[in-house]
Amino acid sequence: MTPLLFLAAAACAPPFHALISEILYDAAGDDTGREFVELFNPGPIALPLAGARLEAGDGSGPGRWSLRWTAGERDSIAAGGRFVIGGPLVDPLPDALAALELQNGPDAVRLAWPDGASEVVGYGAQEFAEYACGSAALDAPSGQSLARIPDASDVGGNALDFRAATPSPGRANQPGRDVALVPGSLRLDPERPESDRAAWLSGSVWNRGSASLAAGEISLYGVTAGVSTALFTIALDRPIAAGDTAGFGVSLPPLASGRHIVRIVASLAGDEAPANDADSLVVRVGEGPLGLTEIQFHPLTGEGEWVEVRNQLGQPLEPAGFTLADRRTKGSTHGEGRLDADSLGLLVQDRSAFLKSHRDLDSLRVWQVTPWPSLNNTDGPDGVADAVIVRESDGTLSDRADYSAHGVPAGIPLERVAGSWSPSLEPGGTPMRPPRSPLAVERFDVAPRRLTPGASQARIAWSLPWARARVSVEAFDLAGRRVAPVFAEASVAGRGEVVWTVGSLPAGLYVLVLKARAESGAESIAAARPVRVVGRVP
Amino acid sequence: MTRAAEKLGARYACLAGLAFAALVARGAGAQDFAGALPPWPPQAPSDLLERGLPPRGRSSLVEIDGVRWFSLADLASRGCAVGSAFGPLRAACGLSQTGSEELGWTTLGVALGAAYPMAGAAARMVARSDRSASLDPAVAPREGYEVGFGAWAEATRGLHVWTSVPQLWRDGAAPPLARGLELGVALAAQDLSVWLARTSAAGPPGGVAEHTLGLGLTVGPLGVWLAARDRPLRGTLGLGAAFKAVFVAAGVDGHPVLGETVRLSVGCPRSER
Repeated sequence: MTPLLFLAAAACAPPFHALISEILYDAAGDDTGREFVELFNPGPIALPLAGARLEAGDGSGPGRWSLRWTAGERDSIAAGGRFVIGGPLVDPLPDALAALELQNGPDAVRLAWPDGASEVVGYGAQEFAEYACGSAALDAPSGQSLARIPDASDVGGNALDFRAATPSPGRANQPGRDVALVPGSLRLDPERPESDRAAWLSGSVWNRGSASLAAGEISLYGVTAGVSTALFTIALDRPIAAGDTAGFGVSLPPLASGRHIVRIVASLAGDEAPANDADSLVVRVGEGPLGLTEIQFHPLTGEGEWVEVRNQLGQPLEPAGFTLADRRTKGSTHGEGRLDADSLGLLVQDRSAFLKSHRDLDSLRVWQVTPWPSLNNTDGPDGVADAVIVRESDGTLSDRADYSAHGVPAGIPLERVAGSWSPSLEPGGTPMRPPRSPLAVERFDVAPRRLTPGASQARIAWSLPWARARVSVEAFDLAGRRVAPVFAEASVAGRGEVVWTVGSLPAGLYVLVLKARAESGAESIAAARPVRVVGRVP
Repeated sequence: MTRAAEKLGARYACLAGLAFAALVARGAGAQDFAGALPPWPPQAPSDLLERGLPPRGRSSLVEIDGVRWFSLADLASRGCAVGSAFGPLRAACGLSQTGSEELGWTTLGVALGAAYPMAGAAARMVARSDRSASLDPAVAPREGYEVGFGAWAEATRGLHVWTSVPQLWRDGAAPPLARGLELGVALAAQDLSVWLARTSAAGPPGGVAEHTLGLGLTVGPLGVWLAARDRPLRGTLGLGAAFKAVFVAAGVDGHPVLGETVRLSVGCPRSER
């Protein structure tokens, strides 16, 4: 073996001494009282700690070591045991309380023994060699500890022995049997299912233990508040080697409309670290609190891009904190004020420019989004120009629209009418107003539709898009010939009904046509309904 | 009797029939086998079943028709008819259904006639049953029957006249549509034909006759025709294509108030005997 290779493979921990096995220097939130250093005795006999000194190193300059804790005469570690030094907020309470005040990297921890032996664990990009053994460990993200994995690893460098892990003071860093759900791996497709539809839930489990797990050993189940039984239970049907992950998928049964927190648990007999067995997914079933109703992705004037949203929550809602995203960029909604139930509001790229172009709109219902996710004007190869995605502040999907810009005239927004998107009928769109519908007879009913000649009567009811209109009803036969007037043209209310007596109209099939026109204006509309007059041949 | 005299006799018989029809005609009804082909010349089993006009050709034919009346979802017809020729004899039978459960009816039709090169005539019979039962069978029976006939003749070379009285006798339930006597004249020259038809009023009192003017052009296996009708003024555009084993025809009737009626016919002719 060459000297270089020998050096690379040299142990960092002195033999016959306890090891530094875990360091938490950047707890989530305020560090005070939560930092800890864990020592581990991998040997078969107990080891005394008396006189051992724990020092913190400041990697910003050479020789900057300061004492944090000194072991008492009675301190020792049992064979295979652990000894935790840390603040009073560490759970479980440490074996020795100390204010460690460890710095975030590049820094180090040193354990110096009375016999002169010492061990250094450095983390972050070190400038001075004294603050690490071999290469320093990578800086752990906030909330995670640096843990020696496997627990007795000592292969010649901090970077090789330590990695970021979920803090486990007083417990093994890598238990023999441990299954965990991979954090953030849970997905639901569709992300916002309808209330009467199942959805596909997928995720990954991780064998964090040192032992391989056989097929069928891991089972997964899901629960949610308000449902007494498990939503699903499945067994993972394949083995997982130590350190490996495996994906799973399961049909999530239909849930009631609303917001649900679905907790998914991975279960393993003899799991030594149950804290990492579960993860939760916030699921929005049915309509989200803010629904997309109009998208202006290509304004011609200087109003900027905007989207119109509707409060679907059934109670007042504060849009601030919601996020608006396209397929690449996510922006947050800023501003004050509430949106009443079923009211329309606007999320805009440039609030002042928008209000300058729309002086007649209620400015209290306009919210700025920063940064604005610039919406594409041309379709991609998939036929979609862009996606508009509204999420609640915790990331739960509220609504999403994947739109195509194909055939949409420049400057015309897209509006959602009866669930589908189409270009607005008004050139500038209808911000803060419902979409203008094409003029049509909203309702034209004839009941009953099977009549007999003579005194038989039918009720003819209509609903028109005007408060008052001039209405007439005529009967045509199957050959398209006008046969008889049913209701002579008259000025009537937009919603109304009349009783029609069949009278002398002979038996046959007739199509009743309602014609209506606004009392002022030239617009006219019509609707037809077939009726059958049944009778004996005269 | 010589063959020429036999044909001449048939022509005069048909002309006499046309005159008789004009005298006795009254309202008749139903459009149960309303195919997409133009009213002249009669070519398909639906012409025989619907108007009593026997095809001049000696092809056997299976025909399937579909009609969506005035774009109304609950008013559509679908029918199947089979026609056959045995020498001068022409026969057809068919089954059709129109409309929804609440409004609709089912029809069985049969027709029998004869066609010579210069004239043809046939009788048609239809039995119709409403899809839903009547609440009061005494006032409105569920089943209705009708018998009628039609005839055509070549008056001079290229000039045809026809008449149809599809409902000379009726009984039971009144038909969904009352149709009057149809009288028509058609002039054909090579691939072009023009026809004019008059249909008497047969519905409620005060009705007036309806007139149809049509123009048809045939180019090889393709055909196109246009027709205009009055009261109210409306038009029809039809297209057809005939191949060895199949013909397809489609037509759209435009109506100023009721909208479009779309017709589709598909047929499988068998070789002439």
